[in-house]
Amino acid sequence: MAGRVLLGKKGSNYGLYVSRPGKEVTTVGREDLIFSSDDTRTSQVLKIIDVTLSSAATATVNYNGDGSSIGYIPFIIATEVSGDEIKGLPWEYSFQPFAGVYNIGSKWKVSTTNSAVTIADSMGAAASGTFRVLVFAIPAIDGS
Amino acid sequence: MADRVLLGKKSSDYGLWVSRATTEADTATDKDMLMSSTSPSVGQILLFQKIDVNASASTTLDYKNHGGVKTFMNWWLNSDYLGGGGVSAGIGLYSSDYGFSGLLLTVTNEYINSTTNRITVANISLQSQSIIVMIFKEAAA
Repeated sequence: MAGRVLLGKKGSNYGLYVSRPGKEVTTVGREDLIFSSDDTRTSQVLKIIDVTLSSAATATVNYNGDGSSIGYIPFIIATEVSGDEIKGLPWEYSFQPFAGVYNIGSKWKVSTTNSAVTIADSMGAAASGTFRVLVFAIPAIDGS
Repeated sequence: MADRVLLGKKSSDYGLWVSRATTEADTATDKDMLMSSTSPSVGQILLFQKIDVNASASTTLDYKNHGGVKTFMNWWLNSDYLGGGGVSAGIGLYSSDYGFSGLLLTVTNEYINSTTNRITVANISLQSQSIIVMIFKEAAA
């Protein structure tokens, strides 16, 4: 059985390493490691945020209860959910001739600051939807 | 040299932490952690795979959802094998997509039952297509 967890020295580096099933952690290359402390980043999730847009143009949810900053602008991904279908960020072609407004692209705008995530209807109209957002512990902007 | 692996007590919590290079695990904050057992997730990837679909056809791929969760999905058109590249506006972008008339690909990720989720790729173009799909273990709902 392959040794798959190494806490110690691998090559010239010290750290924590976990290999894929069937692979010997002391000898495998990076492509067969599930975890390597030599990496710059992992997809560590800081928070999982639920957002509900209810007959409104925008909805904002704070990362912290008091609205304070988490210290950086995070990398996020979001998906709309409807029943058993995970819709991602659906596309639309929408045109309001009297208002002179149109949209070809994502139905939703997703944006974040260092303290909150906002989901908005791309046309600026009142809309409804439920969303889940993964907030990664990765600064989207260096030094943010 | 920084102490980067901590198995034990950090502040008031017990667990495993691995910090980034040159950062002390004992004092590092979330953004300088490669692994923190006090975080809600480590963003594990359930599936990362190329899916081929014939012209004017659709194909499905079932995968284990490990606990019956509705998972996050991202997909890219596989025209350059790098991800993010598209051959036409609106294709290969960074999301799952219902699309609209005129777009070539529609990719959906659907919960089927307590063990299985299903990816469906529908191609209305006259050429075969390939996409790369990445599924996060995290529950999308």
